[in-house]
Amino acid sequence: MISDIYDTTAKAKQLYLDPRTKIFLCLTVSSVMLAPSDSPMIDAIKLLFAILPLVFLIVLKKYKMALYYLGMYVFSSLVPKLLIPYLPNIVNLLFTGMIALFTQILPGMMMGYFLIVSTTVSEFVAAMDRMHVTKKISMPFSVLFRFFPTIIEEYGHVRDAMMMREVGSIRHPMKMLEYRMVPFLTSIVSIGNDLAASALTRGLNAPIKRTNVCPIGFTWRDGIAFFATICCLIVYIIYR
Amino acid sequence: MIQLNQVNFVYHNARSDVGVHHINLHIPKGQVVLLCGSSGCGKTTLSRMINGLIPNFYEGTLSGEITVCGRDTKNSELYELTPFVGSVFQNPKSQFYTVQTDSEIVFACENIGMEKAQIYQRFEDIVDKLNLTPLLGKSLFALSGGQKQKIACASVATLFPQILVMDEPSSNLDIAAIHELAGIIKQWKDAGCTIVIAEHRLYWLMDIVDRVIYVKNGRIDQDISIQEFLAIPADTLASMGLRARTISFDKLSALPAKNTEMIDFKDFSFAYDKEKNLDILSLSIPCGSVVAVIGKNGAGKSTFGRCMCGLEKKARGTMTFCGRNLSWKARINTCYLVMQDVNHQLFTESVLDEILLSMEKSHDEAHAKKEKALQILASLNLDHYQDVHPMSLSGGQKQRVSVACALASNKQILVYDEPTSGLDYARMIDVAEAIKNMQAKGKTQFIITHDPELIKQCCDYLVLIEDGRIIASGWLQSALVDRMNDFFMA
Amino acid sequence: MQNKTATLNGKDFINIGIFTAIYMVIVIAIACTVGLIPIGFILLPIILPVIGGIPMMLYFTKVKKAGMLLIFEILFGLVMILTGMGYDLLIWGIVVGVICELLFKAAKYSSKNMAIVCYGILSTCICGNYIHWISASEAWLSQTAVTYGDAYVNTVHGALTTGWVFPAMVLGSFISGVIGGLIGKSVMKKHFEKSGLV
Repeated sequence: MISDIYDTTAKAKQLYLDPRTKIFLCLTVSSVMLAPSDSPMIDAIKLLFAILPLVFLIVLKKYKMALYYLGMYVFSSLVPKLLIPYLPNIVNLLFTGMIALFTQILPGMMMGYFLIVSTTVSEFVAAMDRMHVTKKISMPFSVLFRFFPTIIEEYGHVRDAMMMREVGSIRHPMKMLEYRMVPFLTSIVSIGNDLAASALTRGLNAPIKRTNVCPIGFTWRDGIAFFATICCLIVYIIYR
Repeated sequence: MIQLNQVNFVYHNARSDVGVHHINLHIPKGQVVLLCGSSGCGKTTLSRMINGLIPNFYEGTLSGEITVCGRDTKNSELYELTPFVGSVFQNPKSQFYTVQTDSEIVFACENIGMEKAQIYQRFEDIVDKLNLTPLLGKSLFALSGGQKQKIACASVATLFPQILVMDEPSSNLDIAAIHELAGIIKQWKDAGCTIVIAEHRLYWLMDIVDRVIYVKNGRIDQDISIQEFLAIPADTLASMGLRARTISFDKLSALPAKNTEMIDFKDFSFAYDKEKNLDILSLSIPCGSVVAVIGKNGAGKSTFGRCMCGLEKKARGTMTFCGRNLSWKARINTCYLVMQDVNHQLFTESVLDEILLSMEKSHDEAHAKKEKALQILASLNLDHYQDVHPMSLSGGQKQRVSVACALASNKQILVYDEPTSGLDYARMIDVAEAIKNMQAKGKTQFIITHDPELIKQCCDYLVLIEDGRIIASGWLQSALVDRMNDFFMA
Repeated sequence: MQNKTATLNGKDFINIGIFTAIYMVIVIAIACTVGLIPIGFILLPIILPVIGGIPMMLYFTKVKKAGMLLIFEILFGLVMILTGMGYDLLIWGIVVGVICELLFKAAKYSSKNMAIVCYGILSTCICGNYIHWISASEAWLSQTAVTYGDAYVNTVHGALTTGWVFPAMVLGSFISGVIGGLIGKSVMKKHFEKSGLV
């Protein structure tokens, strides 16, 4: 029988990497990108880390997202510099500067996106269990990801309903907020209750070490990824 | 196996659910028991006592003794009951915890910390027994209601529980999925499981259950064998508030008065999925009829309804209503969709406000509007509820409020998406009455449904959709009635 | 009865997950619409608490035990780290999370006014994202200004005494959090209590 639960290590869909490696990469990229840069060596590492998510996105065949990332990156690294002299300082500080900072934020965001599209909820949970994260965090965390699609689905229904009833135009912002939130929250809360009942009858709350049948485990690829990242980190620390 | 002694229970925030009183019940091993009764009679409460959700999940005051598989549920945590009692619930979309089929099937095994090798073995076993191979590796969000319910059954079955508790498992399923569900339950029965099913739709269970318990006002009113239950005359059954035991359709006694006005669809199409699309070459519906739109899950019925109501802007082709061609904008103004989950459609704090909200666009004086709103409410028997919050009403009443809104905004075409899923007999009749009422006011109505009893109550025209195409349409006369019987019996 | 015990149970964890998800979706939705227009980006910490008020006040009615607010903030901070926003928000979130836990516990998890105050305090945590942004923006500006000549550098430095921006943002988000909380409270009273949801 072919099923994902028999896989012992990550496949192409997960980019052959263990979720823990991906989380490590993600954290490294975002923290290095956010640090101030004052030497060419660090700039080089930053550029490398900015290219990394682009490569990952292309390997995962997320071409649209890769193109969007490239466009945004080029835009935010060129345009603000051209705008500065023509704008008042406070605008520069609060806006132009922020756009320029997108070059620092975007790679981290894209790594986050990559992490989420290439990792299933069960892999996250398995990874957190292996890292000895308490159930108090891992359980709500898995629900959080499980609920994103539900929220989008339910919100779509509410929007349809508003269109059908021809209510909630932007002219009355308070009404609009209320008409959206009330039916939406009512159905989300009832789905949440049902979900809790169903999960608890299936032993979710058991104070037992949970088994994980999930493709998670380090391979030589993870080793290379760790090694390369740590090298970059060392270079970064030396030149800081 | 299951023993309830002098049990009383009242919910803490009793509002929509009532409690149960003086319950004495013994269910031996291997018995299949049907709990029936009208909505809010306490049958769901009873099922929750068996799977331990009462008192471990729902708060309330409990007295008496409940013993399940030799365990006192009062002093057991839910996870201690997990290996013995499996539960399947009403709404397929809210009972999966992971997002993917494979991991959902093994979810319960993982939770109780079963050995990996054993999990694989159980997984293979269940996938094989329930024919799940085509569903493996899929996102649960992409499955139909019936498929989700199958996965839910598989997920509890992996633990081989001795007791299975099902709370209205069929209410969101189409006819084919119900047949499959019946097959699964039969398998469990043959394996010697004790099964308790709380359900409104009865016809699919008649050759499965051994014993029927009729619950009324929180008390066990009748506790009889299936043979005795089958002997109850059909009209007594209806007066007990129960659905029919069999499905059969009668031909229309007389053809409705000829209406020359028509709704015409020409080359009406919409691609709603990569592979699937709705494609209606030509369809004419007489104005003022009540059209039953039937077909399998995923055949394109709901999409047809959404396109008709203008919710899909990209729908191609023309829709002509009484000689007038309707753009998507005009469709929104002419048509009204009563949504499957009617909760989404109710926005305000009282039923009266809800109706007035639909009249915002009209230029009448405030008091004239109110008078008209009250008239509409009276015509749908809702006048007692004008100050009640719409969300606190029962399912059938909410449907009627939604219909009242359509009436208030003067829509000509009404589309209902599964209006009676999960409704008991009396509430189904309520909805049918509202539909007939609308027909008397000259509205054309489309009813997308899997409920043969509702069709029997109020429809006079049929549209059968398969793979996005219309394969039969016309008045419910001889040939089409046979066709429909075939559809529901298959 | 399980819900009466002092520790969090499965139902609570699921509630935490759901409401964090709702809050995250609101954050993302606002960041992708309002955040893209110039002034909207800086006003985000003020707009968000108003819109988040309704779901969060509903969440506060579900909080009856210690830990629910803190876990909410930790999850929020973790997701922010994973999306490349840095660590500041998590640290800020843990601090305000603990403060709110104590305040709400003192009010025995039942006072609506205390819920509003707590929500106001929680709302300031979105500003955590801006700690880095404002200082880095200053650094970037002065760096870039060099390429435009000395005169320009001087004007930039003149304007960079902008220590008030961040406190103003924190205060603004607290006030709008209180406003959001009041809106939430009125919607709760108008709808959720009548409809039997809470």
